[in-house]
Amino acid sequence: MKVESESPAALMISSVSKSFIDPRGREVKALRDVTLSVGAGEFVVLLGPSGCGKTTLLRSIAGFESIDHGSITLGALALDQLPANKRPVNTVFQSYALFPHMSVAENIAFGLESEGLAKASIEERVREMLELVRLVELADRKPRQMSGGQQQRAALARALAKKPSVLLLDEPLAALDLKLRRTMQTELKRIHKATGTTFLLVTHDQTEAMALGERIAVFSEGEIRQFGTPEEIYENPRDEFVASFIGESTSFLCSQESDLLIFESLTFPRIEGVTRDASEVHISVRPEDFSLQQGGFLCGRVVIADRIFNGNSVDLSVRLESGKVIKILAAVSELRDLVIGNERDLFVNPKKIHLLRQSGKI
Amino acid sequence: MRVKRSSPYGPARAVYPALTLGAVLVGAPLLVVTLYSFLKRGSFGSGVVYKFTSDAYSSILIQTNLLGEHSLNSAYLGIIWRSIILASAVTIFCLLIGVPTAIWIALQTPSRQRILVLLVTIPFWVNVLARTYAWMLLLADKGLLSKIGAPTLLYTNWATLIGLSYAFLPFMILPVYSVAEKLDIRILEAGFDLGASGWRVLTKILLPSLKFGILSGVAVVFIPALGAYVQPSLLGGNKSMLIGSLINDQFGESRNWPLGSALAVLLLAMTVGVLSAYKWREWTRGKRNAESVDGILP
Repeated sequence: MKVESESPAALMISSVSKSFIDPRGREVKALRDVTLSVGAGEFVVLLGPSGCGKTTLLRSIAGFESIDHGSITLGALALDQLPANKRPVNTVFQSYALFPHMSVAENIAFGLESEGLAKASIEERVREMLELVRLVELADRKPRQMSGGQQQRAALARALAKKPSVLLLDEPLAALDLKLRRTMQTELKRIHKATGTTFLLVTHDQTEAMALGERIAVFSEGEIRQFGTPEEIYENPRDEFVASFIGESTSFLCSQESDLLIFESLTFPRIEGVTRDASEVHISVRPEDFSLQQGGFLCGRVVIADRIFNGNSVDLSVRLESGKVIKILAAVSELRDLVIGNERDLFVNPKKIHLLRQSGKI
Repeated sequence: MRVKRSSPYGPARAVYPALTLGAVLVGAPLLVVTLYSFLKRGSFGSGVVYKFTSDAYSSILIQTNLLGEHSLNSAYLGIIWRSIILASAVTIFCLLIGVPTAIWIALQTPSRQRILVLLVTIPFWVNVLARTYAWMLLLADKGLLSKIGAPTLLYTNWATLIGLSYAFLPFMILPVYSVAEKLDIRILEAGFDLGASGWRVLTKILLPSLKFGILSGVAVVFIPALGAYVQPSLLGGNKSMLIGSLINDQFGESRNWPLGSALAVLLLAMTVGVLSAYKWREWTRGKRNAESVDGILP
């Protein structure tokens, strides 16, 4: 089933800033000069820890918050000049916010009735939405008579019934258990494909962001740290925050000595993009790009400090002379050789060393 | 769906003494009043004679003149009707003031909510007579309100209306607040998000979500307002008789206990009738959508 959205247009967020006064009277900058462009029909995820401003941005787009500076436009439409009930965007709330006194069908019909559509076309649209989210049998149920996953679907159907240009999803899966979350992730992707609507989803869960987003905007302290495809962000984190927030990684602040990068007792090869006169070079390496097996670039000697066998891989902690601990990932086949306390050679895949910009110095 | 529950804290008979005491204390006076309503008036006006008769009830509707001719007595019906009108007006006043207040309290931060709820209940700490006398001082001729140019309202129906609304306002605010406080405020945002106007959000989302709070508020305001006695006599000056004063008179000046009892039973029957009709409607509807108002209405 293909349900066209009304007017596919790009969502443009330009230099948006927003401050709050917190209960203690201090000014909190929720958004600092945020610029983001979302293509029509794209699935973009806003990812960041709680309190980073991502939900504020979503609420500003929906019209529940006013912005201090900047503009939000949808195609030629100045979204930020319209009240919430006039904006062609709809929201799926974290708490679902289904109307408790209405059945699922009535919830879905509510937005269409606000538009003043004819009864017959409302009924048809409600039916269409129930089929889309697979809730046809539960049409007459009240929200409290449904499971979390079913309520989630109902909230999705209600928001999509209005054929929004952009669908805003505020941590929509946070209240679901792990297994259901996986199912709903697949469902979201299917529904995104079926409707062709632009999806803008907020989450603090990086695996969810990776699974869902065509592009991910990583947020921290009211700023977008990096905006790109999941692969780009994983392979080339732009700064220490992104590197540590997306997957695991260890960062090293190295000095430069004759084509080598030195960190305490470890040596790394000089990587592309490092200027010769830089006195400090900040790099990060993911656990799976280190190895204790021969191959790659020899970094130095380390001592195995701890190992955790977790089924399909082994999480190792190795210690440098200084006592600093690095996380590395080893294959199960190596398990026998990994004796705690043993001294080993540490190797790194030279292609997987990431150059970081210093956080805050972009 | 009803689930059969067995108490993990020991046998249910542990609560029997409390239940028995409660049943006796509530039931015994009701039985006495009902019994008295079917007895003959005592020869000197006080007390009753233990002889069954339904005269008390028929005298509410039918009067007999000195010649023994029967005719319809509309005086009591008029009093009952006037009481219903007044209680309705009080309920509407309490709705108009109480519902927005309750919603406003529910929107405050939790610590402020606690303080505001405490403030709402403060009048309960003062005796109802003292509060009513305070209103007399405010509303009297040359009272505080007339000094700032308001008309003198004491000993009018308006004074009764104000006094009763004041007395019962907390009973409207508290049940509405208890529902509003549990409400997910995001549903209002969801309403706007779905393109609804402010009026539509109010009438289609907010008020229906508060339905059970509003209904229990209406019940606990309307019922005592119907039988109110203190405010009508002190503030209204008993100029227009209400059912509460009428019943009171039967046990005092008029000395007709059976008639007083019959009027009290009639008032009770009316109240129970209206509530049962409502419950019945909810129950038959509830069979369709498994909705229950158990525990919401008294």
